[in-house]
Amino acid sequence: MNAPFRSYLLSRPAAQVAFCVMLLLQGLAAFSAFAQGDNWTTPMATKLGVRLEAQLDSGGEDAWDPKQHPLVFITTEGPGYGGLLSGVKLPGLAIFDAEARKVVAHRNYDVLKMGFQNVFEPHGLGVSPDGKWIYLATGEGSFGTLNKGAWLIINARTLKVDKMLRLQGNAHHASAFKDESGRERVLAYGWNQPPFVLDPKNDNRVVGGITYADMKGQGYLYFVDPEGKYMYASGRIEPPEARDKAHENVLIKVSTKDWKLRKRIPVEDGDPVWISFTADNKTAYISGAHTNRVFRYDTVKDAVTGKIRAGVEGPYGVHLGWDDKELYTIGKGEGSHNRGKVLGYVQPALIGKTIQASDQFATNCVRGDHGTLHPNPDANEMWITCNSSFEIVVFDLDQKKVTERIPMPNGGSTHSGAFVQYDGWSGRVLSDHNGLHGPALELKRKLLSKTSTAGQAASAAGKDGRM
Amino acid sequence: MEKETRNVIAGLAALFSVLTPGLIPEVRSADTQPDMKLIEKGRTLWLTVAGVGCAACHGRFGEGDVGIGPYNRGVGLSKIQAAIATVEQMRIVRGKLDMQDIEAVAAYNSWLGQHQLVKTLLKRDRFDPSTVDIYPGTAVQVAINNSGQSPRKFVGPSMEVAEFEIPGRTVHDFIWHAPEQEGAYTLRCTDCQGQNQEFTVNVRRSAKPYRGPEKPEKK
Repeated sequence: MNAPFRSYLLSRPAAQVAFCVMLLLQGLAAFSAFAQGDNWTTPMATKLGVRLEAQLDSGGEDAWDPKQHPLVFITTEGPGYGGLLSGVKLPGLAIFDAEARKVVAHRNYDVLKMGFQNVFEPHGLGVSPDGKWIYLATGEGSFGTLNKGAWLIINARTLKVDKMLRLQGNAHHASAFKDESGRERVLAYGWNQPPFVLDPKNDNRVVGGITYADMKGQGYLYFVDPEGKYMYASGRIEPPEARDKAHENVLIKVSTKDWKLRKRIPVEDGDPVWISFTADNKTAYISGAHTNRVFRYDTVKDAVTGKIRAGVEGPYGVHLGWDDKELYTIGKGEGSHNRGKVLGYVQPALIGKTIQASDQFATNCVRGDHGTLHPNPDANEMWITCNSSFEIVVFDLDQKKVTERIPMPNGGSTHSGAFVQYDGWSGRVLSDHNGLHGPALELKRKLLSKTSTAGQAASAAGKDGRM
Repeated sequence: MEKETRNVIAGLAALFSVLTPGLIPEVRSADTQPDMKLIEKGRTLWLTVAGVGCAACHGRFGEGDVGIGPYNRGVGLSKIQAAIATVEQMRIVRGKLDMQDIEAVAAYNSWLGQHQLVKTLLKRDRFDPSTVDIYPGTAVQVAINNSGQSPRKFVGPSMEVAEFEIPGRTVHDFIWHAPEQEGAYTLRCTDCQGQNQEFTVNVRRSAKPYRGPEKPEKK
């Protein structure tokens, strides 16, 4: 036994060591099995460059108790990137109680023992709509590395790896959605990795997606509208120098029914990033990192109908609150300084009336990127993952201030995440990269319809129903 | 006689405030009675003109905390006219307000300026802030934002405020005149979960006296 491995053994609890050894052995067995072919790979997987590299046994003891923590926020914890590194060396995840705001469980995954030469930051995490599977982005190399990206598909119950998928590009984000027919799906994508869709109820096989050629260009971030009818991508121009010179890009609209391109809609920004939808799915808002604007997009007319300043430099996430009357832009410094620590505030009702954003708030969430709306409207808060201050910042949308900073358990970098509600081990994603889901989305629609009715009544009585 | 008339008007205003929660509840003794009808019209315009209201830029109560328009409480007619005519961002209301409308908005702003604004948020059944200090004798506009989804009831016997209800995700405001006598005056949420959900106004001489931002314009 070599010295580093002996030292590794001595420094880790026995259970974790056993887990890693199991991963290694199972991984090796799996590699040889898959060298001989598998029954997992679909034609769509092959077309989109997704390979099953390891199939493991993810069964075992429960890693945490959902009865004690029925609403959790699941996010990544990893090394970090771009010079702002944490002390964490491996990709991992952390689960927080969404009410108590305390860590429930956390794991890292020794991908080096699974054959990785090095570790790329886990840039995103998704959860299957039923809460059973966690999708953790990782890989080797960096943003532009080819054929080294990976998704770890993790059993949410045991937190053990079930599968490792390899990609033609590198992994970025994953999110839950239901398609028009109500089928539960997971959308994943990356850098140089076209979007692909997994069926979590069918062994996470690839059942949808679209190539860059079919999209007539690359996308950057991908979202599915609240009705599950269309996937939208913000267009991506490479390399960054060309992106910086570009004054226009596109929004790419793809049907989730046949995964065919429907439309490419021009956007007056070389670097569109995030897309958020109103609960009624009539309007979407797109952050433009080049012009520092938010664009309003009419989903019926398929046209950009207005723009307003984002209130931050290099906006990344753009998020609606519970009333669909306020937009929050995450000042990541996308395409700019990439060390942003502020949050912009925009009133969509002012689009077309003024170009001005309404406010900016200091969060000191360094390189915050994603905001995820807490699924309890009484909480009315957004959890922002901070890549480089290694924490989650809770921003209260009523008070317009940071009300809590939740440190990562190992001080690692964190990106994106999902709020998941569990009843026993039966789970439901309520809020993630794609916005609100299921009962949370239904509740929002109900509350908005109540507000609208109250507003009409108030208007008739000469009163005001606004907040 | 004049005093009696004032009392009658004050009584009618109090009745008006009870019957029409959310509208301006004004109970005050002043040398000149405000034209509440004009002020109410101004308030409606403040919240609705051009589809977004002046409130979108100046804040619901003219407190200027939205980030676009400044603090506007107490600002008078001539300033408002000048701003509409010359400030670029004000173009959204240009042509949407006639002279009478502008006068109503000015009356509302002037009325706002006569009151010290005190805002509190009821979130998850807790007040934030839960206490404020007010100088004795100050006319206060108390604004309560019930940020929860459920309605909540409030009562304040020591403030002489009868029970009232605020629907979920709604802001309610009322006028309260701090007594000259120092003391703690509380408003209690009667159906909030947990005990002692109170908002306390400490009336004390050590508090900063409120002075309106601007003297009323002389005609």
